[in-house]
Amino acid sequence: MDAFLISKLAFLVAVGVASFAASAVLGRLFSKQPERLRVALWWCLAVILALCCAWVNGGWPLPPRESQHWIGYVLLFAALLRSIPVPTAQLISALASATFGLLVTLLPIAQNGWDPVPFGSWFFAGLLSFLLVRLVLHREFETASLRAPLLLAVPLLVTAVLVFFAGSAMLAELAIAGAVAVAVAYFAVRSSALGRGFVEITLLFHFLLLLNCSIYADLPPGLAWLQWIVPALVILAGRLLRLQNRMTRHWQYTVTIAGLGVAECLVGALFYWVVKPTVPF
Amino acid sequence: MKKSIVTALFLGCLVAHSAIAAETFQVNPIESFVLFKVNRLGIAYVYGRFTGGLSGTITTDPAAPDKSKVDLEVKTDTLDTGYAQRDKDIKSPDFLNVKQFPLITFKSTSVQKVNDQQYTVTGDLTLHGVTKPVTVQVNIIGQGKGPKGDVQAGVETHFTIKRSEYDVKYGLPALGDDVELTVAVTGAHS
Repeated sequence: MDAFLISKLAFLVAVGVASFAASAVLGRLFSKQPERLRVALWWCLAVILALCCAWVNGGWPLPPRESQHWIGYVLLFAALLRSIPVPTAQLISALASATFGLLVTLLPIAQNGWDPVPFGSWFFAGLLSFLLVRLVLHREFETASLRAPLLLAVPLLVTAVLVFFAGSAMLAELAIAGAVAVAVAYFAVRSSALGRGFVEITLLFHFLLLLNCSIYADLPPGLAWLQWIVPALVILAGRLLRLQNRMTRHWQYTVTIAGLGVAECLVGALFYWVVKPTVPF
Repeated sequence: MKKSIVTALFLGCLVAHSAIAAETFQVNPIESFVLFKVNRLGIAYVYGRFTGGLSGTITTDPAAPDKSKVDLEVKTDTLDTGYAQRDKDIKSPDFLNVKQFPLITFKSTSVQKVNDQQYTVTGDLTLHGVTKPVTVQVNIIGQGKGPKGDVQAGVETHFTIKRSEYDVKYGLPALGDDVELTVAVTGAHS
């Protein structure tokens, strides 16, 4: 048991060290080229998360046999598409990578007897959800504020807890690794904005974890969806308060962080009330 | 003596009776069992079963046992270890991933008679989307007429697989690699 836990902790430490070292080196290399730094950072995150997937899945199956095997491929695909230097690359990347992720996640269960109606409903609802949350969060990442990585890392950590108690320790491990990679990358280059590509890779990763867990494990889809939209709701509420109360930027920042904490606690409480999890040991 | 007259092959293992031509036995899911045990943390074993999840057919040919065929499938969603949270874990993508791989199947490729009570069955076991050949020794438990007048026969086999060979690697080595299986099949034909 000790060896098992040590291997899991060592994995998370390795993710943190790799993410910090790579981001710090890239930060130095491209210290005067912020645009290049952003491209390098989203590639760095995509590669680290893809390697995490390979490690947790016990290899790099080619062709992938299970939907969670595809997560790393989808992230690399998104990073690649986003790197194409055309003006519409951002939208094309988001649309194509989300479509790819949804298809490879939904097709295995569709082949086992899903009708076209649930397949289509999941596909279009998922795609719309992803694009809307991405749209709201994108603007947060143009500054070097701590709020931006918190809006990505904290939900990933809460997702890890939900996913663990919903029956998948593997996906929970991936969620924690993702949170570590995102948080550490921010601290390595905190003087720079992480950029929209970074948020897109993280959101895609989070989205696919929740999708996999709600379809193939026992995370209730309603809760998965709520957990997915929490960061966007917090940002929108913060903006609304600022508009109504003429709140200062500093207060809006504080309110957003506090709101995120409260919202995630509420999702956790709702999960506990709906699922009534027990310790799986 | 009577037994030696009517004994036939079943499941590469099951026994039919007095038949000259090939006969097909339907597996009775209620009277058939797939039990397993896996070591947990090197301390103890976790036991489980697939409740009512076994089905399939066994075609026997008493005249030519090597032409007998076994075709079985187990619904993975019927897994039961007596603890709902653990069942949830084993059915999740970490292990069996039952929504992506709803069936475990076995298709025989050869059946060889060892003696009247034992057969060697080789076949392809597909678990978690991975197909591997396995060879098992099948013991005949008995045969006779059931309450409805149908011919019933029962067989049993014990064997061990390594889950890592079927790409079920999560939790190794804390959760053992060896999965010990007991498959007890009751089949019937009218």
